Amino acid sequence: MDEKELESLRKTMRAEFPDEFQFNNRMKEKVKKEIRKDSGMAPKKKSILGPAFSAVFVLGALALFIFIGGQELGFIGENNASYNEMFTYEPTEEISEINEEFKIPTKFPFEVTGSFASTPPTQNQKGKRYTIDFVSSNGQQLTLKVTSNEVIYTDDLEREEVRSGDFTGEYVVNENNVQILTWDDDNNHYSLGYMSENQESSLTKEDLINVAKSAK
Amino acid sequence: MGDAFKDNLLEEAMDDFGNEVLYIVYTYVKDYSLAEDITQEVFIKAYSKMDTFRGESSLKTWIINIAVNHCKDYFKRWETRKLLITNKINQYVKGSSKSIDSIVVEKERHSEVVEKVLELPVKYREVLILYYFEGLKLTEIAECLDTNINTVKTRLVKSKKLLSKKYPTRGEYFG
Repeated sequence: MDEKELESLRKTMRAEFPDEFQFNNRMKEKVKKEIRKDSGMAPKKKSILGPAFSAVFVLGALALFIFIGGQELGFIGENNASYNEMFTYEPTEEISEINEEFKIPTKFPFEVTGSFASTPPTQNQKGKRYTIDFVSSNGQQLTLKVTSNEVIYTDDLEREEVRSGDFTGEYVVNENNVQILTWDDDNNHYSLGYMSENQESSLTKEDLINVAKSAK
Repeated sequence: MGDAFKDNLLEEAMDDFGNEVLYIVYTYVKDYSLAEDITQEVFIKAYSKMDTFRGESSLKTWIINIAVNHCKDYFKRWETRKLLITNKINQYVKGSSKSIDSIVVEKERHSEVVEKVLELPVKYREVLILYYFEGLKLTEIAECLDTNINTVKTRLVKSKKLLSKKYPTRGEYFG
C-alpha cells in the first residue's frame, strides 16, 4: 500500500459507508432525551417533592456506601478480606508434581477454589510445558503457563518491563483485555494471565507481580 | 459551567463532529448499528464531563479522546468479557487467539484497502485513522490517545510497515 492510497483513505472509506450512516437528527434528539432523563438539559421546574426525594436518595446512597465499605473493611459482617489480601494456596497432588520442576505461586489475590493442570502438545520440543488454571468461585482466573523451552513472542504487543525487588518481568494487556505478566527464572519461562467473568473483579499489575514473587 | 453553556457546547460538538465521531467509532467496532449506539453514548458522556473541558485542547480532539476511551471501555464491558471468557479461553490457553475485532470485521464488506487497515491491531489502526482519515496532526493524535508524540510517530511508521506486509505492492504481484 503506498502513501497515495493512504492519503485517499478518507475518500475511499466515506464512499463505502452507506448513505444513511450519518450522525442524524434522530440520534441527536436521542442524546438530548437521555441527558434530560438524567436531569441535564431539561428546563428546571420547582418541585416540592424534588428536594425531599433528593435528600432520601443521598441518605440512602450514603447508608449503602457505609454498609458496603464497612463490609469490605471488615467493620460490618464477617467478611474480613481487604481488596488486595493475598490468600495462601496449597497445591494439589498433581500440581505438586509439576512443582518439583517448576516454581508455583503460593499466594493469590483471591481464594483459589480449583486448580487444574494440562500439558499442551510440545511439537517436537525437548522441554516440558504445562498450563495451570487457578480459579475462584466468583469467576476470576489466573492461568500460569510454564516451559523450559526458549520462548519468543511474535506478536506486536509492547511489553512493559516491570521490577519489584529482585523480580524482573514484562507486563502487557493484550487486545482481549487479558493482563499478562511474563518472567524467566532458573532457565524456565513463566507466563501468568488474568481474566475475569465478573466485571467488579479486577487485579492490578502489582497483584500479578505479587503472585509471581510468591512462586516457590 | 452553566447548563446553557453546556447545552450549547454539546450542540456544537454534535453538529460539527457527530459524523467524525461516528466514523472513528466505526473503525473500532466495525459495525454500523453498534457504532451509532456508541456514538450517542459518547456525546452523553461528553456532556457529563463538560466541566473538565478547559479549552486547552480543541473541542474536536477533546471529543475524539472521549470517543476513543469509550470504545476501549466498550471492549472491557462485562458482556464482552463474558463472551471472551466463554468462547476464547481455550484459544488463549492454547496460545492462539483471534481478536474480537477480527471476528466482527467479517460482518461488513469493504474494499481491500479499507479491510487491511481495519485488520490492523487497534493501537496501529487508531493512529493511522486519526492521521490519514481525520487529518489530525501528530500532536493532536497524541492528545486524543493520551500518549506522547514519539509513541504516535513510532506507531505510525510501524502501522505502515504492517500494512505493506499485508498488502504487497503491484511490483511484487506482477514483477
